Amino acid sequence: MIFQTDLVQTIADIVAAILTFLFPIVSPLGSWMVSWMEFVLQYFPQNDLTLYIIIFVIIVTAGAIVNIVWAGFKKPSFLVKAKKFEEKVEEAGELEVKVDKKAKKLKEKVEKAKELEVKVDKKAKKLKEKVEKPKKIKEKKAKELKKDAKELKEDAEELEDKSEELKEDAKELKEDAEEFGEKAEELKEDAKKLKEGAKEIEVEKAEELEEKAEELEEKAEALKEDAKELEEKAEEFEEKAEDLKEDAKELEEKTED
Amino acid sequence: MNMRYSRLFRWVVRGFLLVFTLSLSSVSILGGYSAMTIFDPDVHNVKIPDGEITSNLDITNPSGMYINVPYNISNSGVYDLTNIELSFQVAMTYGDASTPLNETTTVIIFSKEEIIGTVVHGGSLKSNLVGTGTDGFIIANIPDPSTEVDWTRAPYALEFYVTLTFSAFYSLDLYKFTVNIMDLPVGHIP
Amino acid sequence: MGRSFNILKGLIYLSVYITTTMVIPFLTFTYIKEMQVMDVNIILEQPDYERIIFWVSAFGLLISSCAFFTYSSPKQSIRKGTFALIQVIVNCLYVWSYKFSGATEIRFELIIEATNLGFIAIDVQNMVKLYMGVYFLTIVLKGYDFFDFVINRKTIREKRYKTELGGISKA
Repeated sequence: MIFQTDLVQTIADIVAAILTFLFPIVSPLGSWMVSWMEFVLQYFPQNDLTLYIIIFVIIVTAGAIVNIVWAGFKKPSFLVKAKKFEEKVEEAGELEVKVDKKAKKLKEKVEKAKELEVKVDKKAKKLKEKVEKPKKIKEKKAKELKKDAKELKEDAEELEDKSEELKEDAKELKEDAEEFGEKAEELKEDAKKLKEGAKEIEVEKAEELEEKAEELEEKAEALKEDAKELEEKAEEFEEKAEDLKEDAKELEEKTED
Repeated sequence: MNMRYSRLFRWVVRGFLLVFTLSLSSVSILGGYSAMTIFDPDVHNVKIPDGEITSNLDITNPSGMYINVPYNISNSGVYDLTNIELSFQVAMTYGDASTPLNETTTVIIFSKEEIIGTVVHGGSLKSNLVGTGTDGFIIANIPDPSTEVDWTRAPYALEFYVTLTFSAFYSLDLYKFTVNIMDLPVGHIP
Repeated sequence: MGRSFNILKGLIYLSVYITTTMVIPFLTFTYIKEMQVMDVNIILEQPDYERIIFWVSAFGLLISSCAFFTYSSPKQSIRKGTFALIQVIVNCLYVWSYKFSGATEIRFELIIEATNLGFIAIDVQNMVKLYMGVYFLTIVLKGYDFFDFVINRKTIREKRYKTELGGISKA
């Protein structure tokens, strides 16, 4: 019993110490609160509960409507935009891979065509030398040379076909690279808008997206250049093939003589 | 980093409010507990009067009138009782012989307020409220016994009533209670 | 599901606040309106009782409706902050309006055998002022919360939906 009394007194002393310390800080605030409340309460109706009931009904109804219609679970628009943008970046990434593969394949084709060109060129040179020798050519040898000339013509035609194919492919690549370039530009614009509109997104991420869009744009430019180069090379091969075809025809005629 | 500081600020203020609110609630509970112990009817911690009131209310000799009200206040609560005030009034009812029909009139013949001060928790105060002559007695209100008092009035020529008011602050001056007992009959002449 | 949960939460708190701000005070004052201690009737003066009940009902309705709006709103939303702030202010008026109803000085009459013997009065004005000080700090805190929700609105919404911007596509 004594312990209980002591305990109660101890608690009372602690509470007294807390309140004695806080009283001078809080009491003036309380007095100020009292002064404005006394002023405000003058304007509240003091005899009739009707107004209060009406306000109660309005607030509860408004609360129910507002919190059902705008429950706060819809994704905010800037996050939706960011998600859409990310999907676009993924799409562009896939397109980049596709165009990249195409460019690689085309480059290999060009290499092969180059090898063929060198081979046919060599053949043509050899045949030219043989045919333009001042000695009289025996019939058997002439038949052989005619055959070689025909072969050369066929090779030259093959090179021509290949160069046409290359031209088509390079054109296709150019179109793809242009499409890719347009997409990358679009992404760059979107990234800028996103960065402006959503300041609360981690700035890093927004800038990362912008950088990626710029990277894709640069890649698209590079691919466009490659496609142009390849197109020029294909045209070169076509001309060369024409020349070799002419040479083969000439040599064929010469051997008939 | 900004969010951390704002969180810290929020938690500090909330902690402060929690401590303060708990303290206020504790004071209310402890105040109630104190009130119960002080006003426990079985213990009689506040005794007014504490014993017999001795007085001389002979209005034929106003300067010789006196009153002595002993009181005893024991504070068995956990907080001090502060600003204790005791007010004691004596009213006299008599038949006014100066009126045609000896109208029953009541006048206050004694009024005194005593500021007792503080009784610390666990402490007690035993004292007397004393009034003599012009100290407390309102001589001007006392009627002339030979011309203004109807001594044949029934049941008693003079009746005396007491009004007692006791007030004090408790629970760290946060509560003030006032007890007022009005018109308590205390005696008569003859 | 979330929508219904919020509304249900609002309704629960509406009931809680109606109970604590209206029902309990009503029952308490009705109970203490007339008591008997040692054959002495202690009666709360009628005009005081009626004024107390009026202010308790009036502000109890306002507080309860604000509580419904607050607790049915999404977490950390601006409207939640707004109505929480309004609720605290109305709560201050609720506590202080007791003064106008005489509840800061509650007076009980002492009656023995139909005779009015006197009264017992309890004045809690200083206590109420202290509570007002606490409310002031609560208002400051709610006001701070409100501005915090407004300023950091997008960050809060982002966190609420657990942002899916973690990692950009590495195609």
